[in-house]
Amino acid sequence: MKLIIHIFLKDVRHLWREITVSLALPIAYGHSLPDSWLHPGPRGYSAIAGGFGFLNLESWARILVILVPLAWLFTVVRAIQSESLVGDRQFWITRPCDWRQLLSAKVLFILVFVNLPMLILDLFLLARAGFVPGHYLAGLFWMQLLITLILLIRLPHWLQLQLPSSSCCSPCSLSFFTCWPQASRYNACRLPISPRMIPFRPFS
Amino acid sequence: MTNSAIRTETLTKRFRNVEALRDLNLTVPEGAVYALVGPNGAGKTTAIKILMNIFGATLGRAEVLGIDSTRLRGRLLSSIGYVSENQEIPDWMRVDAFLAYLRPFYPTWDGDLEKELVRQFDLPLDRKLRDLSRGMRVKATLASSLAYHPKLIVLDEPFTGLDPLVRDELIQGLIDRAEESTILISSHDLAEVETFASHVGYLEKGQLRFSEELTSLVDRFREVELTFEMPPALPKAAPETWLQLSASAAVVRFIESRFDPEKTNQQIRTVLGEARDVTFSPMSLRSIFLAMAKTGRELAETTGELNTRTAAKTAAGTETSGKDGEGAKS
Repeated sequence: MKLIIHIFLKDVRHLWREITVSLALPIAYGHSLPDSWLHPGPRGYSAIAGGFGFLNLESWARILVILVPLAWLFTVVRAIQSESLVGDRQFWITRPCDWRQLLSAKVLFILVFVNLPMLILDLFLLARAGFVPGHYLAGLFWMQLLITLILLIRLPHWLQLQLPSSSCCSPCSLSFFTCWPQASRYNACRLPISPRMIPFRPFS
Repeated sequence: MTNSAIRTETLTKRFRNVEALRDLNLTVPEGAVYALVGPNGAGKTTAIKILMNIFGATLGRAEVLGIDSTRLRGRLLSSIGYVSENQEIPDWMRVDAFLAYLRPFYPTWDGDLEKELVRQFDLPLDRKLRDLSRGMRVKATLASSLAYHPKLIVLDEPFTGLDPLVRDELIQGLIDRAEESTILISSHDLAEVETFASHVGYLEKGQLRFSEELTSLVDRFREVELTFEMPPALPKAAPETWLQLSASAAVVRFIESRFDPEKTNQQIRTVLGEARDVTFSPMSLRSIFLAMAKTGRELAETTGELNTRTAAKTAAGTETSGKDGEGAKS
């Protein structure tokens, strides 16, 4: 466990810029989306999006819904590529470092910097929409599991095999980005607008 | 009989239709500084990668420090230091962070030795690995592979592209640790290797042509120059141990690959007649390597691949083993 945390902390030090961006974007999303519910249409400007002038809240939220998974994906790919599990030139394969330790460190990284922020964001949005988050925990955990499986198994593995660098312009990542908003929209349709929804303006 | 740090049995590696290694029987005695030499594409890196369990062999087996090489992973690697020119290192790290990152992986990591190595190699701790010259990077990697007193140090072409000063520093670093470790080094840099290797193995086209102690190898190779009264007729079939036989007027030159003063003189008299003047000059490892490589190439050109292997094997005296009986037969 000590070595797993040691590898995890090394990744945190290495990827602090990516982590900062991947944490900042969900915060911005969590701030903008509820505002767009209250001020739909072209006149709704948030404190953040207002800075750009031409973006209303809905557009800003639509951009963020793409940027958030993109940032998460990029961070995860960077973390995995820093110690690739495949290939014969990797630095760690001739060091006393077991692949299970490495994999555990990467899983911990995803849990801390993708799953946890995502869960907090979901809980926050549910609460802002006037729902009781505790009623939807099973669904949220199921979504977490699916996203983790995509991030952990399919996508990085495919990227490792296909891409020489951390380029994200691949059919797989594109399909991921296409599916994410669709899934979000699907979830949104299933959630009726709560009459208890209250305005929330932490920056105002 | 000494124990062996590395032992391979009929190790073979094929990459589709290419046979990179064929029936490699290599034995590296404990405490030896073993230089694995050979031309490009000889199979040195392949052999080392199999030993380090970076990839598996097609046939045969290898033991490293008494452990089957296919089981070599995780903690078992904590007593082996590996430095390769092809290895990817986390170059975004600073040198001090790099060493600090590796420290917890090795129970035997010696902080004092680390400091000594940093001082000896003059490593800039506050600079990122990617900003270092190639020589500095190799030194940093070597320092990170020596600081835990490894029982075995494996170096794959560590001197390639380095200036003489850096080479000297690396060699000195290795010599300082040679007493407590077994060192396997693959290199083209024969002049450097000769200064500190105790054993040498010559790999060519995936086969081990010879493997023996350096002293015995240097003892059995001689550059022979014969001066006759009249230009002699060169024999059609010279002894198999004579390499690169050539004549220029009354002077005949060749390389004797199994030198024995009495036997060689007798052979000269039998084959070429009485010479006016006979000179036997000792050869450097580099000259021996070149003679072997050229002979192999010439034979390949004239007689084809199959004959080359047989002829070169005979010419090189592959039956010769190390003095301790640990040398391998090809």
